[in-house]
Amino acid sequence: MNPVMAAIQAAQMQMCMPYMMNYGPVPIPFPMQMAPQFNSSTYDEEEDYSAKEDDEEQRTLFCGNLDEHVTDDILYEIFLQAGPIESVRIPKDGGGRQRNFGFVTYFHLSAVPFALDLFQGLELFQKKVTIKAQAADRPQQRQSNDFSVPSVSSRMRNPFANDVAKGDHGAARHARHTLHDAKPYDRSPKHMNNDARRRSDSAVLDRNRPRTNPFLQNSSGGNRRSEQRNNHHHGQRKLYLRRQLTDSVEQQPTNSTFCLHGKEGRRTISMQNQDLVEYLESCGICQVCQLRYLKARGTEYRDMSKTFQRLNVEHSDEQPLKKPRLGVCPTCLGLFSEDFQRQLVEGILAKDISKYDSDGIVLALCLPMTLQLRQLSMWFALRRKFGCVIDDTNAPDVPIKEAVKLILNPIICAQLKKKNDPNGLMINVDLRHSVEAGEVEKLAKLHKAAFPGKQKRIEISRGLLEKQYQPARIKADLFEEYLPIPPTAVDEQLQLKSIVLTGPLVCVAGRYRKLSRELSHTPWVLHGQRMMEDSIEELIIHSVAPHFSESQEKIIFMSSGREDVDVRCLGKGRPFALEIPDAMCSTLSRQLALQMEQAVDRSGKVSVRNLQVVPREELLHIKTGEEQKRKFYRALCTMKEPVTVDILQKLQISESFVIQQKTPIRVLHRRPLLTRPRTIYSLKARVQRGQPNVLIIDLVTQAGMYIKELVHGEFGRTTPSLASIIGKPIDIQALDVVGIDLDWPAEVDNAIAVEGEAIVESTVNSK
Amino acid sequence: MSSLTITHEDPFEQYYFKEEEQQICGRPVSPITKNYDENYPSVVDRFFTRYYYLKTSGGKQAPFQVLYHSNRICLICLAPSHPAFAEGIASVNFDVGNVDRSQNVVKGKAKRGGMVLQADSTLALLTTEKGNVYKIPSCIRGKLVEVHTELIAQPKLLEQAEEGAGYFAILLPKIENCDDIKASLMTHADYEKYVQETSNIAVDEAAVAT
Repeated sequence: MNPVMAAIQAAQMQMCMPYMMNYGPVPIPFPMQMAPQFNSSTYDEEEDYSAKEDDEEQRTLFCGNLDEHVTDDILYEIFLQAGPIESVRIPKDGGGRQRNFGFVTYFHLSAVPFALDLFQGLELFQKKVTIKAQAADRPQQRQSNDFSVPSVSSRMRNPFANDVAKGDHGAARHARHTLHDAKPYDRSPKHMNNDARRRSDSAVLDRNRPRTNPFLQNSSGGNRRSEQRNNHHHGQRKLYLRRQLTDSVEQQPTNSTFCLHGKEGRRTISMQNQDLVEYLESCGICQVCQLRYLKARGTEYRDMSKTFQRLNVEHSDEQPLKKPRLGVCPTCLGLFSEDFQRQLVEGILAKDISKYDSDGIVLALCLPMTLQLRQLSMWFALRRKFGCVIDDTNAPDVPIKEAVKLILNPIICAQLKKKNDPNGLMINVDLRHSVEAGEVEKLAKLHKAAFPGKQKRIEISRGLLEKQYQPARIKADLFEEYLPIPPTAVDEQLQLKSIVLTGPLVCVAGRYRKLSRELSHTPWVLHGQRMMEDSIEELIIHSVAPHFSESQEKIIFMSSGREDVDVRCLGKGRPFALEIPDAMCSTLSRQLALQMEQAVDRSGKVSVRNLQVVPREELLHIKTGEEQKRKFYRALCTMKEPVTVDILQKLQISESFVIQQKTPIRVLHRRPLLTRPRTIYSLKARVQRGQPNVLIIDLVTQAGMYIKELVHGEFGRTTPSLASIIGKPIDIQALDVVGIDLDWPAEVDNAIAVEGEAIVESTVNSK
Repeated sequence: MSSLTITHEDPFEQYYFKEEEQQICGRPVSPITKNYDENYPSVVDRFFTRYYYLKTSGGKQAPFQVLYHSNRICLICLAPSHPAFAEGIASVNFDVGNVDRSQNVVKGKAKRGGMVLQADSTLALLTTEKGNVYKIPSCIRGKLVEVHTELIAQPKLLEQAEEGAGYFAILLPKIENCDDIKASLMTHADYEKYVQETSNIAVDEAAVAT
């Protein structure tokens, strides 16, 4: 066995490999064997090219939920079983880490459905791999065109069998690829027969798709989806084949009944959808939850009777017509009842949802823990009833959280006439139930009994419940000592505890200019006392925030760097952004933006422009590349003696150079002591007419440089400094930021835009 | 000055500053040159308070200067009237015998790892050209943050440097000790009195001697 195969075994593959077991290691990779085939005389190059190009995607299999340990090699070796592989690829993310999905491209189109069959339910490193055809929407069409095989069950045998079945369907596009003689997996006819026989014998339950439709299975008129499911099912059976045979279970044809022999007693326990539903009904489970236990998906909850029909489940008595018993479903506590939905919508409408202009909403339910406990209890109950058919690590139902997304979300959205948008208005609903306190108390006791070793005080939390409490980790008997199995019925529905609306996070960006030399960046508080009346942050927030939010406390002001209290910021200004949580409004009209800008301007200290709403992702422009940005400054410097031409010449530098700057003393008490290398890109000094000892110096520097210290050198702690360059003391009296090298946010002249709109309006009016 | 008399051959012509006009908030921005202040205080005057410490050894007093920043960081320097200036400075050594102060390393905002010094701990040894060795005291109780190692290579900096640039070390006292430390040091006014007195004494001594 080669090392890769060993690796696969080490990966604790949960599937059998019939070919391997029967015939030793997987044969050598296919391409080598079949290479000559491409050059055969029947090979039509032109047609093949188009076919090949076209079906690259079609020939690709998508594998999701891969463990990080799964390598290209492992994927190759495993998927090779379904046919020769052209390429295997697991993409990497930006950080070079492997993504959790991969692609397997086969040489042959026919290998894809075969592989889909063969590997459904594959687990690698204890993670269930999701396998889909890459061209998921197309294969069905293709299949019906190319593989006009009458019987579904015989269709999915293997890619080579297909070809045989097709026989002289020579016109089919892929015939030349797939109809070849070198078929390493195409065993003797005897083997084929064997295979077919076994298939009809075996019966395996696929937990994820516990549905078959015997009517559809034998007719060609069923819908495609269930057809596919049946196909998967057959593939699955095949995978379990070996185990079945070695265990020598009785071999009787079981049509729509799934069997899996139980661990204990080697009995065959069967479970049918009908059985499941009947049992659930006897426990008083509501129909929505019944569907959950049937693992229904998305739209299948909308028309439940139809779904039940399709799943071949009949409700013996006409329950839906009868007045439903007053009992509340013990697994969802009425969460999915119409009554509850009505309450919820009413509750939401009672809040002033109209205050928010957001089109999208997202529903966040905080469910009592008892729901999780009840799910676990039901899980135990099902295991008792149906045995190992029910997995002990993967829950038998669609989790309530997911079901809320599938069921409640669309209903609430439709009722409120809003879209579902994870970035929209968040409706936080806290739910409570009278049994919660009592059951959690029992859970606490159970926890002590179940995990006695752990002396640490662990608080019972939802996360803990989810992680620790599975049939695999806790014994049913122990559980039953504290809590009933199956869950008991309750009289009361879930109650709404509170509904809180949280608006989306809106980001507003712009550029500010600062004209005052006595204005701090953020509120300056020293020993609990305000040192200055205003700050840039407050001036901007006061003018911008009221439009978006009622409270200004949680708004975060950020900017691309900051200047000292006594430094002005001129030119185009410094980019800034406001992060406004719980915003009522997510847009900003030009007109309003202009009004806000004018309001800030009226302060005479700060001026704002380019005000606009930006997507949150763009905020990273402010913080990234902080040290790469160039900053432009103008400094007013003075010398004790008149400036000479020599000094001026020394201060004209157009080539960049690096200085070493120790943390200035003025910030040393709160910053670490470091020597930072910083680049000066250019220097230009001029002299003021009539003031011979005054220099005006324009600098372009790397961000993060302390300019004041650069000028006077701070006792030699910055070297070289302007003082050391000219060899004479020089001091700085005033500093202006005249430019920041960041082209963000976009330049929007709200004044011009508004003017333009006004003109359009006036012309419309005049007409 | 000269620019008024010679207009056609002004060497500064190409270096004259011309302000670009700019309007913000509907008003023209005042040029930076408007902020010029003839009597602008020096760096030390702007940020530091001058304190002094007298060290008595062998019956002789030597004054040292402590520049106390508004954020409590202290620079330890020689007072202008320190006798070493008169004798000429020959060398500075931070290896004070049992420990080398220049090996001081601090980490992080909290300046972890800095040597904790008492007011009379020796920071450095100063040798004058006359051969006298002066012990430089820490002057205050605090944590040693930075040592001016440049002085080892260029001891003459002490004589030429601007006020403050001849610092030996930067110390960070604890906030709660600040008031006590300030009270224990001599203020600038006291120091001026002291200098006056010592010079008077010196003059007297000289008079007595003659």
